[in-house]
Amino acid sequence: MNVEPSGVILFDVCIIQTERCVGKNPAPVTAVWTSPGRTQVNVCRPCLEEKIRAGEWDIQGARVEQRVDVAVYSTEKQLQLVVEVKKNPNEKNVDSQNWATKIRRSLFVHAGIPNTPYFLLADVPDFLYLWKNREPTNYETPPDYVIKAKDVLAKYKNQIPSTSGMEQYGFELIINSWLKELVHTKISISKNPSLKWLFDSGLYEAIKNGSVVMESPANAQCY
Amino acid sequence: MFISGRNKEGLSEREIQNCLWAWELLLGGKNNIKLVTEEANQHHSRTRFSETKNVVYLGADVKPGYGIEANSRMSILACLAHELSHAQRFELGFQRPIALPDVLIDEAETSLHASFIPVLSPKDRENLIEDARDRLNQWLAHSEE
Repeated sequence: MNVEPSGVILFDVCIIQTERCVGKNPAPVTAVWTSPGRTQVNVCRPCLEEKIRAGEWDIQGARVEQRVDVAVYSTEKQLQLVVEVKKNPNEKNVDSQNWATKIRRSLFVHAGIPNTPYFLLADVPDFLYLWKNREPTNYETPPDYVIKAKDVLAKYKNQIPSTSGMEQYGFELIINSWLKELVHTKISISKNPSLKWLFDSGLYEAIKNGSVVMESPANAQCY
Repeated sequence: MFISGRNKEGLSEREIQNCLWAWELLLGGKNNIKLVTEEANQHHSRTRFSETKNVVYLGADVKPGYGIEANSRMSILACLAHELSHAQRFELGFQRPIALPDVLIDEAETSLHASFIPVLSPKDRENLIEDARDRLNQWLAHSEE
C-alpha cells in the first residue's frame, strides 16, 4: 500500500503499536495518509519502518535499514548464519518447501540479506529450513535440511509471549535462546540424534563458541 | 548548514519544544545524539553537528526563511534530518572535509542521505534532493574558477 507522510509532528499515541513502538504513550509521532481514501494514521518512526520492512507500506523515496532477525558469528567474529523468522500463510504442509524457497529468494534478492555460509528460515511454529550456501549461489535451490521445530525448540515454548500478534517475535526470542545455548554447549550426535543435521551440515562446527545477535543490521559482516 | 536564506530570529520556547519533538521523532527512540537547545533563542544562531561532542546544536536557522533556493525552503524536520545524517555519516566513519569546495560534496551527500528518512514528507524529500543538487552545482562552479 502506498503511504504518504505528511511531515507533521504530533504529540500523540502511535496507532500501529508494533513490539518496537515508542509511542504507546503520547510521544512525538507523525501523521501519514494511507490509500485509498487518504485515511490519517498517526505513527512513530519505528512502527513506520516496521510496516515498510514487512512490505505492508510503501513510501516513495524512503529507505529503511534492513535487519536480520538473528545473526550468529563464529569465534573469529565472522557472520556464519542468518536466521529469518516468517509465518507461512498457507495451510500446513501445503508445498511448504516451495514457499520457503521463494521466501529465501525474495529475502536475498530484494531485502539485502547478506550471503552467509548458512541460512535458516524458521517457519512459525512448525519447521526450520536450513540452506548451506554454495558458490555460485542459486536462489532456487530447495533447503538442504528440513527440521521439525518441536524437535529442537520444545523446551523453549513457554517463552512465547501470550499477547496476540506477538507469535513471530516470540519465535525470534526462542530461536535466539536456542542458538545462544547451542553455541555455548558441548553436544554430541550420540546424545542428540535429532541434531544430526547440525553436525552433517557443518553448522555446529562453524558457530561453536561464537556469538548470537538479535535484530542485527543486514550489512553487518562482523560483530 | 550554510544558511543564506534561512530564518535568523531566535526561537521561542514553543518553537524549541517543537524542534525537540521533531528530533525525538527522527531518532525513533534511539536517543544516541542529543539536540542542544541552549543557543536556539539567540538571533543568527546556527544549527550544526559537532563532531567533537557528538551533539547537534539547535539554531535559529532551523526554520525556513524567505530565500528562493531549496535550502531556504526546507522545513524544520528536513533541516534536522540533514543534521542527523551528518551525525550518522560521522558514526559510519565518513571523514568530513572542512574547506571549500569539497565541503559542498559532503553537504550534498548528507542531504541525499537525509532524503531517504521515511518520516519526511514528499516535499521535504524533494527539497533535500534539490539542496544536494544546488551544492553540487556550487562545487562544479567553484572547480571551474
